[in-house]
Amino acid sequence: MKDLTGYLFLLLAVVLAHLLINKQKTTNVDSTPVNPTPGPMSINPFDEWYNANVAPTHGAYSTVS
Amino acid sequence: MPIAAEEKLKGEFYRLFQGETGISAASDAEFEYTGQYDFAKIWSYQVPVNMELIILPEHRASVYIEDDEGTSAEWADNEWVRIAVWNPDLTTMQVIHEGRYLETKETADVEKMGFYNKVSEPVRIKAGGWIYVYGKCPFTIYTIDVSDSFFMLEMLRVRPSMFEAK
Repeated sequence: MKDLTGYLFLLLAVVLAHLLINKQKTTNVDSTPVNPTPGPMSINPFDEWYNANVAPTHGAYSTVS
Repeated sequence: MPIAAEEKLKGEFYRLFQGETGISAASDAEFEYTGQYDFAKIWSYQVPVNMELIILPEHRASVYIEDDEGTSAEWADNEWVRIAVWNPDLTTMQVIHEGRYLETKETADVEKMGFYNKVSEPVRIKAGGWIYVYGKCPFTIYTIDVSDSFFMLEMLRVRPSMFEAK
């Protein structure tokens, strides 16, 4: 019986250690998603260039497509 | 650190001439008057891959044309010139200039050159798009001497910077 109690204590210690380690890992995870959802700035490079360089003085463009 | 898009693309003032790589010219015989209301293609230019063009209201156009009837001579003022942009598969056209030859025939003095008369807002021509220069002779049957004719079109040329990794 004494041997069994020792074994159970050992098992309990292992389980507690495991839980503590997992909790620590969870706490350290960066809250920023790996793949952030594209926002309004994710327009194509041409439009981004145009909006920065031409649009302020000339407004929107027209195009044939 | 991510590089802003405006640093990856460079825009530059550019003058497109008839000698540019990618310009196709009609042969003298191909340009023929076919009817009072017809415009015939003289030059075409396809925008290369990785390049975009923008035509602004303050940009100018110059087109000089000689006929090929007997002794070559410059076109009369009342012939017509049209400049148009097309989408890559040539299904949609936007006219950016259309008027008498008189309006575009100045070739020497930039200050006297005419503006595109149908551009009131910037016009973007995407990679693969086309610029066409047409002519029309409403009153006389003409062919043109393409080898003695030329044009200059002002625009902005937008390209990826050579110094940024793709």
